[in-house]
Amino acid sequence: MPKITYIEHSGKEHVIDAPAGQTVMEAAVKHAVPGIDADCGGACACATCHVYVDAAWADKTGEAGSMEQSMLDFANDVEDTSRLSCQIKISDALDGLVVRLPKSQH
Amino acid sequence: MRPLARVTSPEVAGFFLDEHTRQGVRFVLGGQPALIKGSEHVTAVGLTDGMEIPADIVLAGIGVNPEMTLAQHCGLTVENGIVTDAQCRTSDPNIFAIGDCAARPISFFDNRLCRLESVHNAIEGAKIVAATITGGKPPNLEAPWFWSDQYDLKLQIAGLFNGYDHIVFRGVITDRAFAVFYYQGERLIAVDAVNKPAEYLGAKMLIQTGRTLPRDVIADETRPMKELVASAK
Repeated sequence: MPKITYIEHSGKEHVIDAPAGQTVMEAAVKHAVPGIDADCGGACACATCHVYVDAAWADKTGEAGSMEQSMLDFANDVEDTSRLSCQIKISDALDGLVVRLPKSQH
Repeated sequence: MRPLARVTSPEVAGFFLDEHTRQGVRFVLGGQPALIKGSEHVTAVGLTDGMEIPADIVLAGIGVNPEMTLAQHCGLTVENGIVTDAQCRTSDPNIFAIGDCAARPISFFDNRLCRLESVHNAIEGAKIVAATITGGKPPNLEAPWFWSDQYDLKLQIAGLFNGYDHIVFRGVITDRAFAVFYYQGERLIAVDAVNKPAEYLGAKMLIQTGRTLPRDVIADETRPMKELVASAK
């Protein structure tokens, strides 16, 4: 099962075994990783599952779609590596993925 | 009679009605189901006027009323929902109520008592109560928001449109990407955005911070929403 590492803004790490097919947001919420709110439940409608994808993984996670990009435009502390984690589907190719969490989702 | 009467304007409701009709959905507005026909399986729904609608599956979406029996037995104040203060505390200070069954004052709307049926409202209520009970930091409150995905259309709503006296379009309906802003006088109170996430988030931010934009300015699509929001007072 792919392993995903979530790093809270404080630096605290959470390593989760996440089944392929789930999104990076869903795996975090199912394991109660603090810092991913995902208020809309994964519909790309709220921008509260904002993460930073380590540059080394950007090719594998792909790029934000236009809807996602528009939502990110209004999020706080957006960087080039920002993504909405509900839009990243976990696959075996993402085994070892590292994402960092912003200071706040609101 | 029209669909979505409780949640949006005739303009936006009409757009969704047309869209579903175009996709082959037939609406029988005001139809009163009287019986379900079939022996082993459902075969049809009969209406009071005699009309029969063939069916393999029947989905009953009949709306909700708040369940307040328990609250009433406790002697709590109830109106349209269990009445609480901004901390979600009922008229008994040791009892809190959150979610679709509760009504609390919403600061962005002059502390009007609102019973909101939304995920955001339930989550925010839970955060408020947790902070109140534990003495923790209260959450940053958000303007009420709602969303619905229908076909390839993403409808995002922020604010409460009740009591609007002007509407402003940004974009055109036929593009299937447009936003409708609701104003009460000069004050922006809500947005319905269809495939327009920036307009939704921008308006939500304005409502949350008690700012507004002149109606002719918000309609000007040549200026990006983010820039308009930054210029708002």
